Amino acid sequence: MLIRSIFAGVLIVAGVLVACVAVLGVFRFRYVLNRMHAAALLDTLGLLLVLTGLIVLLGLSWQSAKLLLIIVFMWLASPVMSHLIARAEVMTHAHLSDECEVTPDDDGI
Amino acid sequence: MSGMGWLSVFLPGCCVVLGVLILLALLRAARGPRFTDRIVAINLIGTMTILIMCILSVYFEQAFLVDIAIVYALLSCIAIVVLTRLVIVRRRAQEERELREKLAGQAATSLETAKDLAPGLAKLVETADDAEKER
Repeated sequence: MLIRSIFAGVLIVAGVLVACVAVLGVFRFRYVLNRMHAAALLDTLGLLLVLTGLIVLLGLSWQSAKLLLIIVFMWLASPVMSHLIARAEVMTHAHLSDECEVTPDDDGI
Repeated sequence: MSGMGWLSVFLPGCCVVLGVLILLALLRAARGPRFTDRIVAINLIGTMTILIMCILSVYFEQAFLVDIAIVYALLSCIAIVVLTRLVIVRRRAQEERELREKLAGQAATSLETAKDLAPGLAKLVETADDAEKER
């Protein structure tokens, strides 16, 4: 039991550290498309680490199954959200080539 | 919290750290120069709120908090999808309108040119006909 809770604690601390890195990255990068890399870190890795730690702590139960459901849902939804945000940014930014080398095609994206 | 020992300090500590990070992300949302910066920061805040809810559900031993976290995940996802779709659809309509105006302008100018050229062309055809008759 003690070893299990220590393992869970290590996982949760790792997840919180990933959250710290994500917020730090959001402040350090200077353009949205770069910032999204750091933000996506928390959506996938941070969530996975913290919720896996909680699942280890709880053992097998309905509560941990729901935590697993949250992980699965966020892993499916996070790329979609990132894609939509990046698309809105690329479509509305007038001088995209000033910020990054990639330029949009003629048909918008 | 019974039977948890050091976890009864550890889990609220994680929640406090995540709360401070939420405040920092809120600062980013307030300062972000473009609206996508704000959306990214709001996304961060949503994910960290889900984490806090899950940690608290383990800490308080209340399983229903996980259900609320699931609903919160769905809501934050839908909010971001709706916001960005709105921007994309409006932008696309605007681009279409601009393209239509540009094409209409081009058509009008070519019509003007055709009207300018028409008398000269008619005269030319007349001269050609006369030359044909004389021959």
